[in-house]
Amino acid sequence: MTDKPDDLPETSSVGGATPEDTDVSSTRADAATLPRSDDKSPSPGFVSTDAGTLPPPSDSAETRPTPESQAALTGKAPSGSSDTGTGVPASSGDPALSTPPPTQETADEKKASLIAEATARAVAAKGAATEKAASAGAPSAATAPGTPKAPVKKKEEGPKPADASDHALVKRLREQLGDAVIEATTFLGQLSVRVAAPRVVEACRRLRDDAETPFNYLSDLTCVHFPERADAPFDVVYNLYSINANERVRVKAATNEAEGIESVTSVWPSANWMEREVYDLFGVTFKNHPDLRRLLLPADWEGYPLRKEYPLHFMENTWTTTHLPEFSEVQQEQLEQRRAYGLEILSTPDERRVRDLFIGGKEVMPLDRK
Amino acid sequence: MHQIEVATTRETLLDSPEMVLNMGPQHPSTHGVLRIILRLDGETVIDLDCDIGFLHRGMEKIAENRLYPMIAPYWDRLDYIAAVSNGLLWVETVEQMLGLDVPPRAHYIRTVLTELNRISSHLLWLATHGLDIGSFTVLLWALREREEILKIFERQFGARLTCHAWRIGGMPNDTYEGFAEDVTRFVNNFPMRLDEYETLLSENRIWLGRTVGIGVISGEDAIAIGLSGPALRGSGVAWDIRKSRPYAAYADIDFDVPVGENGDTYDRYLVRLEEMRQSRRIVQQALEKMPGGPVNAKVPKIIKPPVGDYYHSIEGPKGEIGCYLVSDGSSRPARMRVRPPCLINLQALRQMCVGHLVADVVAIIGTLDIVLGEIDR
Repeated sequence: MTDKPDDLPETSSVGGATPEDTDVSSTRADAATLPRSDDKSPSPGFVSTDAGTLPPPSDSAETRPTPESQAALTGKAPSGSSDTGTGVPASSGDPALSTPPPTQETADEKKASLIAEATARAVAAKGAATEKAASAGAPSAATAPGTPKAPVKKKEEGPKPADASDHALVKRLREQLGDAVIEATTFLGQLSVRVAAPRVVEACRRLRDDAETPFNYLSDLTCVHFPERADAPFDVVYNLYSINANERVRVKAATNEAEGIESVTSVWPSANWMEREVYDLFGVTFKNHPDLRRLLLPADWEGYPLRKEYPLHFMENTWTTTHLPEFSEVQQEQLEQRRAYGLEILSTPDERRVRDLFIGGKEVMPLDRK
Repeated sequence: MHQIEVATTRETLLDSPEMVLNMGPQHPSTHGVLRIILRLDGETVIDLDCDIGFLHRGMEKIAENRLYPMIAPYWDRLDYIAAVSNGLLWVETVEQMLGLDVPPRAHYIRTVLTELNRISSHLLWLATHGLDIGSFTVLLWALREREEILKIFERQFGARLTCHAWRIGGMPNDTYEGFAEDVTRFVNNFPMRLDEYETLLSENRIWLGRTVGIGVISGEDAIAIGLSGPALRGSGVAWDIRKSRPYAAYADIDFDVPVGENGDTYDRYLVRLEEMRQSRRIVQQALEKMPGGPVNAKVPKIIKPPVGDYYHSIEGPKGEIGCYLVSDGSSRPARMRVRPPCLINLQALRQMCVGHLVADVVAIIGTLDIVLGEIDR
């Protein structure tokens, strides 16, 4: 009574005169948290089994004002109920205390009937769900192989690279370079010319000094890795732009790690850092490059991250062991545990779940999974 | 060849008039974690070498393992000052590969917000560039106007910097209620603010002393070294992708491409200020012409571009930001390359700095307008 919190309303002081002082204080401790956290929670006056059987109080309890509920919680004296005449829980909760046997029986009956209803409903719902699944199972199984096929068909109908040997620029290039121009295609309105890797600098210089469309600006230089091409897995790609003629062309040259490719820094000085980046991330060496060093990664890094075989997850290597701080004992233990379970390090459960959607490069939609 | 060798023995250090000075990576005027190794004679720069990659996150590698729509948020984190522009490039690349017909209203909304983003990016450039050179007031004033734009972004996208502004095929939702009023209010107030910056800087003796004749690069050199955007236009090359290869709704909009004459830091400052005025014009026109209708195209549920490769680029605030996309027909790109304008502009730093004082290096970094998040990717 004396240690009553200030936030309790005046009405609750009525219950202070009861002999069960310890009980009151304990319920008050609950009362301090209950009304704030959850208005729907039953008052301590309820027997716990009764709480579920009375839907009306729990419904109306949502709109019940806080002081009343506090009064219902703390006020064990009968005057508490008279205070909260409008409140349903107080009127229903107090009889439960004072006259338990009759209400308990009726409550039990009600409960039994409710449970029966609920189980019947659940069974019905379950049956409907299984029926639905069974009925939907056959068509979905029929359409499941069909749905992935549909986009594939669309793709075959979709745009494809077309031969562009008739293009004026390609003709001019063929005149000057002969066999070095391997193929020329247009795809979605963009012209690509594949040239032989040993003559790429010559081709680039011709394009830069072209009379009609001088490709004086090297927009982009990058590389694409095709691991399935055993002899020349790397395509070095030059995206060129002619500022004067407003034309774009793409030059590609296939090479492998051993051969490398000639640097085009003599044609466009801007190729310098872009070639360094390709060297850094793909391991393609550029001959006659003025300053071939790693660009983004540390100089002593091992491996080339943008190659397809380079793993996505964290990998210990010489660099990490020499430069990263050592693991603590706990971290080391966690690491070993994760390894023991075959889990990828540094990936969250969410990420693993998402990665589960793609197996072998194909999406596995939730329907397809067992 | 350009790798700076650090003299280690005491004799060489004392005998030589040259000195090697390390600047960064934790240096306020490098605008991020950029380390520059300077070889100096007295206070004059003889040679310099940039050390980058401190923010390398392997974004291109991550993109190869994500669905197409999942890649969009990573673009916001490249050039986090211009997330709306970057996002536009990504969705346009995929849309053009898929051959989607984006409704005109989406194009116009994209134009408005991308230009607002350009203004906000240039304002941050002005703020930090001014701060680097010694004008503190312009920082506060420019950030004040930038705040207005960020508020519009927050109301429209729910975020201020990393907006995730667009979706493939259109927009996540139409403009919010009161969007036109907010933008109009900003557009009406903005010229006055720009005039204020000009009174602070354009004829300021200190500003002129720090910028005129600093970091001069000719038009031919700028093209050869790969400069793009305002840095290239400052050297007198009138190349703007919004004009030469219009995307979004730029084809219907009338605006000028400002160019400089001398290719120095002051000209690039004037070009960017004028670009902000032009951006304001674009926003105004796009708002007036904005059609009604839907903002989303019909997009397939699983996005699988046709097998092939495609290069698309737009005029970002920093320069030509490009995306080279190689599709193998699956729902993830086989290769996604970002053409980072800041990285390629930063290449010119050595050429522009040699012969200048150490203090001018700061001014030239500022005028190149780099963001390290995009350089390192």
